[in-house]
Amino acid sequence: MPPKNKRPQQHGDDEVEEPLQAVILTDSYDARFLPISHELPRCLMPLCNIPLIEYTLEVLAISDVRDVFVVCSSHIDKIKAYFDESSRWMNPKGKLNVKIVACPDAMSVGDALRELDARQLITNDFILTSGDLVSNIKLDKAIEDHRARKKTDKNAIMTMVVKEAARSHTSRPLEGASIFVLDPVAGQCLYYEPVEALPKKDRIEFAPSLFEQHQEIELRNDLVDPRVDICSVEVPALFTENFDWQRLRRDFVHGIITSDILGKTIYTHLVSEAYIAHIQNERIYNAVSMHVLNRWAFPIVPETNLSPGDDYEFSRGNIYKAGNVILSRSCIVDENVQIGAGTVVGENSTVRRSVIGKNCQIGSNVNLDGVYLWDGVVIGNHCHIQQSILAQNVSILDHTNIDHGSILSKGVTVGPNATIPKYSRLSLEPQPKNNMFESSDEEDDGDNGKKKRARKAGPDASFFSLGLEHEHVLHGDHAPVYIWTHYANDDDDVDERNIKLDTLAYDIRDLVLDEHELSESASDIGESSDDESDLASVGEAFNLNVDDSKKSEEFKKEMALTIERSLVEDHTVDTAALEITGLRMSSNGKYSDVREILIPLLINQIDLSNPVASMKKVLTKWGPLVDKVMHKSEDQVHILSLLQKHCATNPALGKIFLGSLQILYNIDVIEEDAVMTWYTTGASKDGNAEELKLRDKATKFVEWLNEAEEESEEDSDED
Amino acid sequence: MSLLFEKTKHQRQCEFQAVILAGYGSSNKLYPISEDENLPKALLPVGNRPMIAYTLDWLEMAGIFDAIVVIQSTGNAQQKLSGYITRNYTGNVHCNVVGVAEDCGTAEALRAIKDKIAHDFIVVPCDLITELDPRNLLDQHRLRDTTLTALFYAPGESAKDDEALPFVGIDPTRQALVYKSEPMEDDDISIRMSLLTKFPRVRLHTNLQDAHLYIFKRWVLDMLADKEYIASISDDLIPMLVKCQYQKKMVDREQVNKYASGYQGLLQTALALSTTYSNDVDEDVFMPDPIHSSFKSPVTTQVYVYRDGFCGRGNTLDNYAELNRHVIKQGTPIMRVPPTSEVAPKTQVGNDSIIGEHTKIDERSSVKKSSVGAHCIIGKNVKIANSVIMDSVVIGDNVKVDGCIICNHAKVLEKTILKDCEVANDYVVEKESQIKGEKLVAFRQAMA
Repeated sequence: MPPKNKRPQQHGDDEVEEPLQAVILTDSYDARFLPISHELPRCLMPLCNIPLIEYTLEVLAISDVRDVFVVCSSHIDKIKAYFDESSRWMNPKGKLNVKIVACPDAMSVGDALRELDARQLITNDFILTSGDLVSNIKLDKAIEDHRARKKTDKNAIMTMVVKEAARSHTSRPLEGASIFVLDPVAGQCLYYEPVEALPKKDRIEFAPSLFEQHQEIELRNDLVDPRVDICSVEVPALFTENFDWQRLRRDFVHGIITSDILGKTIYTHLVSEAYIAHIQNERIYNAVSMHVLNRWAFPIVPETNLSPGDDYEFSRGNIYKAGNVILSRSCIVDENVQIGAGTVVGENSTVRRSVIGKNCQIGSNVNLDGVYLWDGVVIGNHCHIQQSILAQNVSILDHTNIDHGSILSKGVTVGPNATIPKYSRLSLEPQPKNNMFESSDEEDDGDNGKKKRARKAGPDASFFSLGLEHEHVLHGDHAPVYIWTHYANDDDDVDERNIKLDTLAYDIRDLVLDEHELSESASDIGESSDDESDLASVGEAFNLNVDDSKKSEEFKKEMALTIERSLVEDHTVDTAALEITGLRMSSNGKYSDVREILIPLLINQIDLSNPVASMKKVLTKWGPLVDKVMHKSEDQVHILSLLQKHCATNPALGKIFLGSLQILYNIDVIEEDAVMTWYTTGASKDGNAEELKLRDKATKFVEWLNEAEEESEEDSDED
Repeated sequence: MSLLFEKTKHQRQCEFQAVILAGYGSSNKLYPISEDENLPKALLPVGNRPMIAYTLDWLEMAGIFDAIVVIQSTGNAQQKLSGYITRNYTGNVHCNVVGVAEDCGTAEALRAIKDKIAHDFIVVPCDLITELDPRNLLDQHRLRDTTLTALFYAPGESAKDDEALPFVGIDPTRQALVYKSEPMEDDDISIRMSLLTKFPRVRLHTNLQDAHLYIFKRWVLDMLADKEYIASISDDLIPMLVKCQYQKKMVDREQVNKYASGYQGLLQTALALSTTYSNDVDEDVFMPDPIHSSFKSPVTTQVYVYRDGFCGRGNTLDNYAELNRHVIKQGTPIMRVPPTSEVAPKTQVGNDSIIGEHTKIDERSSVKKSSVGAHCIIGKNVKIANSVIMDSVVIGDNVKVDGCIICNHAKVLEKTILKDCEVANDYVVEKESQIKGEKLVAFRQAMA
């Protein structure tokens, strides 16, 4: 769709309105898409193999817009370079007159608009949008309404374009909803409240004074807000006046509507037919990609070939293939797949629900499901990749598995034979410190306040602060790859879980909810005002019952990793104990689970080629840790049966059973009574043949214990 | 074939039963005109017909021929009403008058008569007069087949503002009633997020009035029977049903499913078993969402909003007067001056007024925008405007009556000027008095 040169036509004697200006904010001022966004601005990230900003400019090109200001705060050079080299928008004959405005100091939307105001670039009403808008809307109607409204309501300063959709529409963010209170006839926005998903909000409240001027109002929880606003000239000036406004919705819209002094009004323009979404997070990136492949945004579909030189063709099953793609005979390309030019797919490989960029090499026996491969990705043989984003020139060596939700930044190489766990974020560059939640445990004391807040924010936050402080680096036959930890907005108390909800392919079952969040309150009969708040609640069986097993599974896995790391990296007992406690508390795990994990790992540490010395060394060092996960004598019995069970799995381990028992006894981790209880009760007797054999081995030890006891008793008698 | 036809006709007659709440819950908003000595509320004349006659006509138009009239058993109200139904009522609705204790709530009244109700039922107040075609309402109810269908109307311009209108929340896509709250002066309006999760689009109205006309499923009565703490229909039962639509916990706590499941319609059962039909698939069937958990409620409601014509209730003195004015207003095809009445030649009876049987009006008087009952005797040079004069009232010469309600057997003696007064029955207004805006009640009665 080339930019149109058509100028707006004059209607009779109407005065001709000046074409609008447009402001594209290329920076999202948040931490989504890390670590990719560390190296590439969001607006240049490809969606269906076209940089996002192209979609945005496309929308503006079919509207009545001439001057476009592309406001950049980070990656300014890259955006400039993009427009200089590869974009067709800089053509002076084109309809749009694109200017790059660099605001390197802007830290928020508010800053950027204040900067615009200071430079006096805005001379007319303008469309304010972000560089990640995907839409097939023609904004003419909204612009017309905006202009008409300005004639009747002098105070109207902004028209927000919002789309009606189902509440659970996939292009709505999960992390939070926006409740709009509108005048159903005029579309005036009377109240705006952002509602975060977690912690759960019970009610929204607003003053009944709204009804003084409006007999009917409408509450909308079903709108997609793509951040397309038609603003009056005075909007940047209002940001300058209110220097503390940072965010467009939360501060500006909320501020304008609730202010009695400013007396300005904001309207909404509802659209229901057009497709409109903005890629505000990884999950929506995934959703919108699929929408485009499923032709929801028609004519914004791959075979429209928006970008010059593309030659995608559409075939059945929503498969879009560029001209010179080489698919092996035996590969399977399932539904909803886009494959860019120059890509090769090897034998017996399967591709589903995926977008593959240009010049990618996919080996044989590869399984790709829900994967976004940007240009130049190389995947070796026998790889399995699920629901992940692999940025430009990533290479995955043979036999590598990547679990869902992973994001691999530019140029990363992993493998061979690697397994990348879910939600991993890998980059060639180390994570900047200020993005870490906490950098090291040495700072624990100083950071207590922060940590407290982290706990409050959710168990997972503290998990990240305690469990994964150590920077992870993957080494191999390739450049070191840094594992980025979870990032956090350090500016305010955002619930970590809200951010997680909208990460790529986030499995809702991994969500940890507090008990009170699962329940809901109910009114009492006869309450006409509906004002009571009944929080005495019964947990609803979501995460608590149904997914308990899953959660504890998860916990065990993490615990095993933590303990193993402590053992391998030879931490002090105290550090290890702290980590275990932290993890156990954050996941609400049981000590018995900890023991079940600890004992086998500990025994496995013993070097079987030199059992005696090694056993002594390992158990003497880590005995105190075992001691720390026990509280009662039953716990010691538990340890013994765990020891018995584990040693019975392997004859080599069986040999060290008695020795281990003895050492544990000698260093006072296990007491005599516990050994006796274990020996005489079902704890040791109920087991398979191997286990019973070990019990027999222990007989000697027990006899010796008995004798020792008798002796000591005799000793005391003699005294 | 004819047998089959007969059968369906019979069934249709039994689709709904009506419960008329006669003179019920109006407390003393109609004091002093509906006192025991005068008339029960249901029999107060509107355009010289008892109020309840309009309700019965409406039911007949709706095709409902089986009504239970609930009235307080204290005093002689029940007796008077039964008398009217058996002797004077000429319509086809079969009425069963049941008396209940005076202080019992509307829901309690329903509980008292639950054995008499076998079908889905419609609760109507006796004081509702509306131009709404009942078939429209019933058809909408049948279409969505909801647990509760309520009628709301936009009050006319002339309605006084003294009654603040409630906040009514309606989901415009499904016409579901999702929120109802009495008006508050200062408190913020508070809406549960669970409501906005289940009904993402809610339109809040402050320009609608509850007609107190409800259509219920029969199982609601079963639930009502077990839950004695539900006392009033509009204050307890309706809010509960509304909230049950989105509060899962309430549904569980009140065990609503137990009652609702027993009364699944044949059609619903058939559709539920169908492999192709999907009735209102809940949004998160495919993707469980613990944060916005939604559920399929056994309770559904809907609202019929009537805006096109007149709808009003006679539950206050002002509203009662308004009903009268509406019924007798210009252009209504009613008999205004019956042949049995004697109106002197120089007296004017406006075509916005009505005169009862055997009433005599002497010369040079005028009657405007008023209804005058039967057997009244009105003197010379009397001006009556905007008033309701009931039966057997005597008005002396040179009296001016404006905006008044004068009850049976009252006497207004010569040269009196009454404005905006209510005169109780048997009361005698002394001659040459000038009274404005008072309730004139005999001392004995006031004490009682």
